[in-house]
Amino acid sequence: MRPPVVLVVDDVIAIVEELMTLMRLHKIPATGALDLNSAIQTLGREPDIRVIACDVRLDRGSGPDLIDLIENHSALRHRDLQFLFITGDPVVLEQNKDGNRLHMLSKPVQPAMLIATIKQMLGFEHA
Amino acid sequence: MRKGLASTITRKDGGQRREAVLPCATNQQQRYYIRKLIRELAETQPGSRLLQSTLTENTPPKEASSDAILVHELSQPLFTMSMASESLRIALEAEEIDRAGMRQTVRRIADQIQRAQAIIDQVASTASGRVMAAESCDVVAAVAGAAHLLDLAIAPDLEISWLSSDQEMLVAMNRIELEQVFINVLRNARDSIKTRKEAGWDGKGRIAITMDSYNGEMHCLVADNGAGLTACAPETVFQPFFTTKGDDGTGLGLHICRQALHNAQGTIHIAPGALEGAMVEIRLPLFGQEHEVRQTAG
Repeated sequence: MRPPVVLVVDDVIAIVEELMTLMRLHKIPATGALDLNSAIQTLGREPDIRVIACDVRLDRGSGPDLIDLIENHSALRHRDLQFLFITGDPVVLEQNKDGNRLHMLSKPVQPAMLIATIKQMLGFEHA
Repeated sequence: MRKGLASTITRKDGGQRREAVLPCATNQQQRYYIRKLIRELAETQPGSRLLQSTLTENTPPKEASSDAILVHELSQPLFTMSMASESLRIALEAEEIDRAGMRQTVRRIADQIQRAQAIIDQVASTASGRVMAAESCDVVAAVAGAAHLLDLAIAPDLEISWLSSDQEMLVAMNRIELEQVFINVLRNARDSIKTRKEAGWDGKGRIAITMDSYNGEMHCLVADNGAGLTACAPETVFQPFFTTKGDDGTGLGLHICRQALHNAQGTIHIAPGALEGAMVEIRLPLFGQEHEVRQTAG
């Protein structure tokens, strides 16, 4: 079994399940967490995780809280991690003038776009 | 769509970069979901634009309109359905067709359609002041449906037996949800037998299902003669993301079962079989007797 490189964080089990299934079909090893504490524990156990796909609104806390938790965690703060936030709220994004890639997607996300974004974040050759 | 602002927060920490991009909120409800991240202005690079006054601390929304609730709640099953349908498309294009897997994906889509309908019904009921009727389903029909979806009746070298009382056993659960519980339990039993065979065992696989009702409860036992439980504690198998199937499983099946049964005041337990394999016991209050069972237990 290949170690996971993507962590999916959402308090809706069905979403985590489908995301993990979809990534498995695309040969992207992934694991999941249903809350922020579980996410931190999983990151500690799985050192190969490089991308975190996280819902903005969780049952307890919000997705960006995870960044704070990682920053304050002595063993995790030095990890090279990228974040992809997924939200079901009607927020609007505008790409910043630096041209940096946006890492925010709004539900319902087109699966092809989601996988392409994750592959790009992982640095796969063909996204 | 309304226009907002966005920026990149960039920090250097031991030579590595961490990037997160957040939208700016333009109303109070949106701000609830966005936290202020920038705390140390000195670490930001010159020239980068920072999110500041547009981000606020967490404050719960005073009131969310019903259409906003509907939009947000419906986005969840729609998102799930879109991913499941994409998985189905990929499976259809594979060289080897996994019919059982595809059938389960279709069931998950059907489950989400039903959830979406339930959300709409709930909002409509609330708006009109109607009280929604409670749902019930027949356990025997749910087990039969699950076995059919898994093609257990035609699985080679697998014998299925079941014994149930003549009385109808209705429980307060959605049919698709209860079927999903039994799909997960029966699939684990089937896979455990397969694991045992792959380890060299040449016996005949057996899954025995017994159902009965007494004291206002439905009792169901699913016993298999598979590989049995691993060295871990039995309750570990209900933890989310625990799996013995490597890349083939998400590790959520039994966790989902337990949650669904708990919501219907039911329970699920697993234990080693009397002689071999494993045994799963499911209990659910019979329809209309849920509160009586709870009061007796309390």
